[in-house]
Order: sequence, then C-alpha cells, then structure tokens
Amino acid sequence: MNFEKKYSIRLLKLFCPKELQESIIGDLEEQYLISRKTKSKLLANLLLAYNTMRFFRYGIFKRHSVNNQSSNATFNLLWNYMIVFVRSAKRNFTFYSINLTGLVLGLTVVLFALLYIKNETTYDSFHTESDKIYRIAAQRSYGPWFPSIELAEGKKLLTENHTWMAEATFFSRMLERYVTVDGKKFAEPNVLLVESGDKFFEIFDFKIIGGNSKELTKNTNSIVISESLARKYFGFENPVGKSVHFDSINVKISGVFEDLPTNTHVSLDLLLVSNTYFASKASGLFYFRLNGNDTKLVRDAVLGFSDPEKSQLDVDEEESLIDVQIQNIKDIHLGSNLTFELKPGGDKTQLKIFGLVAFVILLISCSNFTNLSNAIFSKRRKEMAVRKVLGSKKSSLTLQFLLESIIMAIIGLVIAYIISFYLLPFFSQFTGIGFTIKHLFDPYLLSISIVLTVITGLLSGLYPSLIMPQIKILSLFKNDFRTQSKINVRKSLVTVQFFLLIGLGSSSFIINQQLTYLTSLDSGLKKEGVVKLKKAWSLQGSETIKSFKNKLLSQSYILNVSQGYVPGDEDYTMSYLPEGFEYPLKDALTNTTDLNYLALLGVEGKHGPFFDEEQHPDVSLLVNETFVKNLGWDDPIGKKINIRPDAPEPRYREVRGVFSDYNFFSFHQQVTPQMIFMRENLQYVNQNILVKINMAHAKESFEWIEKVWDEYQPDIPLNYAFIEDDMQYAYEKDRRTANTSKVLAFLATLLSILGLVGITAFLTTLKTKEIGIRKILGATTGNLLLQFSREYFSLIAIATLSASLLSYTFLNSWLENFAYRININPVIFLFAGFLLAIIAFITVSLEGLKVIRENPTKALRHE
Amino acid sequence: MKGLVLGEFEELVMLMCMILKDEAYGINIVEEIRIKMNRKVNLSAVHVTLYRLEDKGLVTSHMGGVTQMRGGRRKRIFELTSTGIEMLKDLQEKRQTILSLIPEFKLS
Repeated sequence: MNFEKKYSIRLLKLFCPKELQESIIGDLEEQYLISRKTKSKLLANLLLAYNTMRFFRYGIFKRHSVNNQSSNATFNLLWNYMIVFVRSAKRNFTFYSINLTGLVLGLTVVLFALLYIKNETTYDSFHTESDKIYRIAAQRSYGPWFPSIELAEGKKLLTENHTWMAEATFFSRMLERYVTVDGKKFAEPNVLLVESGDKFFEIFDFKIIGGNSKELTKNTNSIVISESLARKYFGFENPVGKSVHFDSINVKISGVFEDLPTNTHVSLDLLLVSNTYFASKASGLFYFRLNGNDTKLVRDAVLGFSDPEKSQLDVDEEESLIDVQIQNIKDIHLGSNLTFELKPGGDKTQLKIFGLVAFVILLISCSNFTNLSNAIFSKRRKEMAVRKVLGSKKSSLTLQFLLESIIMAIIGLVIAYIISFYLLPFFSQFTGIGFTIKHLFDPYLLSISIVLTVITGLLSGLYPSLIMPQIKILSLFKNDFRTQSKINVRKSLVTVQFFLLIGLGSSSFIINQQLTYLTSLDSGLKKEGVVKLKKAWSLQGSETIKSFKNKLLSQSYILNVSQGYVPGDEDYTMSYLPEGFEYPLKDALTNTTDLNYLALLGVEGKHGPFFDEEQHPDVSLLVNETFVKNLGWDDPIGKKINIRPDAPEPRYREVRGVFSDYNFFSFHQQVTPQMIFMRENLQYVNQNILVKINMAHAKESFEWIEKVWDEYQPDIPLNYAFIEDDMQYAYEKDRRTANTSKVLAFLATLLSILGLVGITAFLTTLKTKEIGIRKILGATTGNLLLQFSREYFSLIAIATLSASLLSYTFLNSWLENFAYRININPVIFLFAGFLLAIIAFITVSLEGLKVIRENPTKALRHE
Repeated sequence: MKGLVLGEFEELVMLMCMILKDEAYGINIVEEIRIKMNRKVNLSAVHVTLYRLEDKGLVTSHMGGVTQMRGGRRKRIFELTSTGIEMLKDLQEKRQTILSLIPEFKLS
C-alpha cells in the first residue's frame, strides 16, 4: 500500500505546512518500517496514527505564518483587516459604540417581532398531518356560531362509519373544579373531558412524558395531567398510577404530558376520562383527521342531522343546526373567532402592523448604520490612501469595509440576543404569551436572524464600501471629497427618521389621550361595589338559588343580589321578529335575569307596567331606549315580539317596560338595542350571580360571600371579580396599542438622535477648516451652531408636514373604531416638530461644540 | 547569545545532531536518544524542537539525499551553527566549573 494514501498521512497533509511535509512524512515512513519489523501490521498502523496525531500541535501550526507568506496571503490579509478594525474601533470608541447601539436596538426589535410572528403563524402546525385535522363549527337556530356540536350529533358521527374520517376526538369542557391530593384542594380551571377510548392524543400531538401513551384514555375515571400540574401535586415523585380525588369521584392518573406549547389554541392542564361526566354534557368539540380532501362531504353529513326525517336525532328544535363550517386546525387561531373559543383568537391586522413596524425599525437602524459607518470610514481616508499607494486594489478595499460591517452586524446580533434574553420576561408579560429561552434559541429563529443580520451588514456596508474606494488617492490625502449627491442621500435618510419620530410620537400621544378620555366616560351603570360570581351555573333549581340569595342578603353589608350577563361578559344575541316586521332581526343583546337586575346595576326604568305594578307575570320583557328608537315605535308598551322566528311554532312576548340606555360593551360601540327577560323564579343561573356590596365593608363582604358559597358549593371553586375590573379587558387591545406606540416612539427618538449624532459628527469633520476660517473672521460660537443646525430646520419642517398628514389619516381611521372619540388637535403635530427642532439643536450643539471650541489655528492645520 | 536559554531537551537534541553529523535527521535522532539515553521521545517533539532551534539560529538545515526506505523522500539534515556549538561549549564549561566547586562530585 502506498504510504501517502494512508488516512493519517492524508490528514497530516491537511494541516502541516508544505515545506515541512517531505521530511516529516519521510521520517514517519521510516519509523513505520522499523516498527513493522517487530510488530504486527495493525499495531504498527495504530502506532503510526498515534505518532502522526502528535504532530497536531502548535509548534507545527505556527510555521504557517512564519515561513510561508505566499500560500497564506489571503489569511494574512484578513488577519490584517481584523487588526486594523480592532485598532480603529479602539481609537473611535464612541463612534463605534454609538453605531453598535443603533444596530442592537434595531436587531432586538426585529428579534422580538420574529419571535411573536413565528408564534402566531405556526399555531397548531406541529401536529402530525395538521393539514388534515379539522374541527366542526356549527350555527344554531337562535343565532350564534359555536365551535362545538351537540352531544348526540358528535356521538352519531363517532359511531357511524364515515369514509371521510380517519380518526376523531370528541371532547367537552369542564368548569373549574377542585382536585384533592392528600387532603389538599387545588382549583383547576383548564379541564377537558373525554369518554373512555377517545383518540384525543392521536389527533393532538402533545408530548407524552409519563404513562403508556397508547392507554392514556383507555379507562373511565382516569386523568392525564400536565407536567407542571404533576409537579404541583407530587413534587418530583412519579405521579403515574397514583389516585386523586376529582370533584366527587376518585380518579387514577394514567399519564403525564409536557406542558402545552404556546402555539396551540387548546388550553389544557387536566384531561378527565369519565363516561358518567361525559354523558351529562350537552355539547362537545369535534376534531377529526380527514381521509381524502373533500370537506364538503363532512359538511353535508353533519347538515343532514338537521333534517328530522333522516337523522332521527333527538335534538331540541331551538338548538337545530342552520349551518356548518369545517375549519382546518391551523386556521383556527387567526381565522376563527366564534362564541366560546378554547382560547381567544389572534389578530391578523395586529400581526401585520407588528411585522411592518419591525421592518421599518430595521430599515431606520440600517440607514443609521450606513450613515455612521460612512462617517467612520471617511475618518480613515488616510489609511485608505496609504493602502492605495501601496498597491491595494479597489476590490480589496471594498472587501475590507464589507467585512467590517458584517463583523459589526454579527457583534450586534450577539448583544441583541443577550439583551433579548433579559427582556424576554417583560415581552412575555406584554404579549401575554409565555415565551421561554427555548423559543429564543429556536434553530429556525436563530438561522433567520443570522441571515438577516448578515444581509443587514452587507447592505449597510455596501454603500460606503463601494463609494469610498472610488475616490482618487490625491483627494483622499486632501480633505475635499464632498460631493453633493452623497450629502443628499444622508439628508434624506435623516429626514425619514424625523418623519417617523414625529409620526410615532404624535400618534402615541393622541392614542393615549383617547384612552384617558374613554376611562373618564360614564357608561350609565353604577359599577361601584358590584361583584360577579362567575360561571355560577352549578347552582340549580329555583329554591336553591332563592335560598342562596337570601342567605347572602342576611348580612347588612350585602346590599343587593341578582344574576345574569353584565358588561365584560361575552355578548349574546338571538333572532327575533317584532310586531309589524317581515324579517327577523338579530342585533339585539338578550339577557335573562331576575327582577333585581336593573336596580342592582343602577339602571333607571323609564316607563311601563313593569315599573308601576307590584304583581308580575311569569316572564316580563323589557327593552332599552335604543331598541325602541331603532324600530321606530311610538309606544312600545304592549307590542308583541316573536322570539322564535325560525321555529315552526312562534312564541310571543309582550313588551312590559322600557329602561334607560347603558353601555354594555366598551366605548368602541354605541349603545346596542337590548332585550331583558325578567323572571321571578329562575330554574338556573344565567352566567353570573351578581352581588352589590357596601365598599366600606369589602373585606367582611368577601369573607361572607366565600363562606356562603362554600356552604352551597363545597366542591366548586369560587371565581369572582368586580365587574369594573372585568370591563377593563375590553380595552386590553387598545392599551396594548398605546403601550406599543409608546415604546416605538421612544425607540424612534433614540434612533433619530443616534442618526443626528452620526451625520453631525461627519459633517463637522468635513467642515473643520470652514469653521476655523469663520472663527478667524469673527463668527461667535452661537453663530456657528445656528449655522450648523439651520439646515436641519428645513428637514424638520418637511418631515413635520408629511408626518402630520399621514398620522392624521391613520389616527382618524383608528378613532373610527370608537363610537366615543376625541378630536385630533393639529397643534400636537406642530408641537412635536418644535420639540424635535430643540432636540436636534441640542444634539448638534453637543457634537459641534467639540470642534467649534477648539483653537482655530488647530482647525486650519487640520489637514 | 544574551538572554537565550537552552532547555534540557533542546540541549539533548543538539548533542545528538553533533554525534550523528550527516545523518542528523528526525527519526535518527529519536533512535539515537533511545539507544544512548534509554529514553523514548516522540517524533513530533523532536521535529518541533529542531524547528525552534532553527528559529533561534542554533542549527541550520538542508535537504539531504534520497533513500529507498523513505519512499523517495529527501531527509532534512540538521547541523549546528557556530553559535550553537559555542553555546554548547559555553554551557559545558560553566557546568564543569560549578561541578568542580562541589566536593561530592570530585570522584576521579
């Protein structure tokens, strides 16, 4: 065998300098032959490999640079560039750090935007064959769309053999219940319920980390819990096989799944497998994996249930199906926003704005980077001149500058990552998504951000690195390489920043003004001291409800008790056909409650027998003023309304009173028409029990409420809130917009100042001589500063004008979301422009003073 | 010469070079050390030491003749420069002087 073909020798050739190779390989072969005489071939080979490996040492590598200039010229050149870069960064430390700061700001924003966008757009795409997983959503005859179908319908789908369905899961939601572990009670809100044998974990790819993954849902009266729940209950013990008490039954833990990822529309901590519980449910959510690709088949099959002859399903007429949607699981988060979704849906527009803003910020920081790099490079024109004189090519100068910008960009990315790491908890809080380090260091995000960074470095470095080397050597040694065009490019970059600063700053101000205005408005309710006990459906039967209410009222600080929907809850409309109308209407908010409702909320009754008489029929229908106004009725009292227009048998209710308008929703909307059905003895609780308490005795009141609740509902956790706090959720999105705009305005200000510093520093070095001459001729410092800042004032004027026009249009369309809104005061824009002028003057002065203060003789000798 | 310090292994390699004369190249030095000193050294260590000595100007090298054993490759023969020889001599003399001052070493 040829000695040179041996792997170890080949390897040696890779790292060993050429001129040493001959003698070293020769020695190795000789040594090999000596050892072959006494040792086996294998041993000799091993020995050779070992001896060769020993050459892998510093004493050999360093020969590369000492003796062999020619073959490593590129390496040396790059090394030289690096050294020059480090030296110049040390010399112009302030400049480089300003430049880096701007870039880091931009990259951090982009990183967060990418994080958010990635999370929002990849919802539920991690399930196997997620393209094939669908959900059935249904519209009922009383109006709204639900993500769920009736229990009977779901069961029928499961038992029938449909060719279009590969697998399916049918699960229901559970209200908050207690789980008791070793005598300790835990309230669990995120509970889903399936029948035994359900294929929940075959449809959803949630990672199973404990238990037999094939038999998780096999037995009734068992539960599968999340990892964090297992921690909470048992610490680090293995929970699988243990028994706990759920609500009123004993259940066995059959498995543990990893906490759900942030990008799924399902929220789940505990999956209960129980046939008895399931049988008591009215509806459930149906997900299935499609065979083939025809969703129309599914739609037809489900719609067939509404045909009484075909289906023979015992579904209440009121609940009959009108329409069916087959939704792909990946489209649910951004595309579906039905009543009672598992998780509130995302917002496509917000996502687009987020992406756009991130892009714009990246653009600004890129332009800043270009500007400042330019300034730095032009400070190094002597270096360039010398390089050129010594025979450097234009292309190698371009390479040098490009390399420097890319290195800067990568350093920026590393710092941006470190900053994002520390800001991540705040960002999670801000977006309400539980981001962790895992999301930040996701390979996809990492690779995109690296590519983006390199592109940023390339693009920003391209302009200076292409322009600078073109300048003639002589003018590099002198000081005049000002060309009009370049200054204009820089000026337009600065103008863009001014534009953004004014636009974002004034918009943020006006958005916050609008929010303050909203909170100062009167909704027409007396919200103070009104507490709602949420989802109190478990109280059943009119006698129980009545005694519960009376028990609460037995203390003097409980002022009133009622029930029903209140502002802050989901809206609920149903179709109705008023007397004299041909087509049913759907726009009225409906609510069934007891007689105390209006009094408790402080809503005034206008007129009608309901408010005058002592005795009431079983049901009284009340409407609000807007309802009357919309229908154009003169006297609504006694008018009849068919509340079942879609059913074959109509059901009429007579209007017995009118109450004054109050705002059920946020002030985004005008007051909507409203119908309230008053019943003396309700058999069930409509969403909430409402309690008005004396705020002077808030603490005692809450203790009393809890005590009474535990007496009536020992197994169900109490969940209460002031309705005022709950109503604030309606403004959650607006508050987020306001906060985002504040952050962005702050960033824009920072970036603009950085940009200004950059361009001023650059221009002052160019104008050093001019300053010297002016000073000798008698110009004062003030004169010079004004001279410098003057050119920005025109830029600011242009930016103010264009930014105000654009923000005015944008803000106007934003304000149209609100029924109650402020007028935009144009003075705000002028003020923003004025403020910017002051900022610009200060920045320019601080930067310019350094040069202006100097002795003019020094300035004249500048070259 | 000032400031130049010679390590023990460097001195050993230089001595071997002097003994081997025209045959002073990598593997031979390793073998010679093994025979004369009963000490196993690694080939790469010898090579690196020789290059370092060359940098210090104590040895020079030239490419020698071709042998069959080496698959037609030339050897790099090392040879002490006058500075190198001076340094070794100087070192020996000083050592001798010091040793002569120690009674225990005055054996013969």
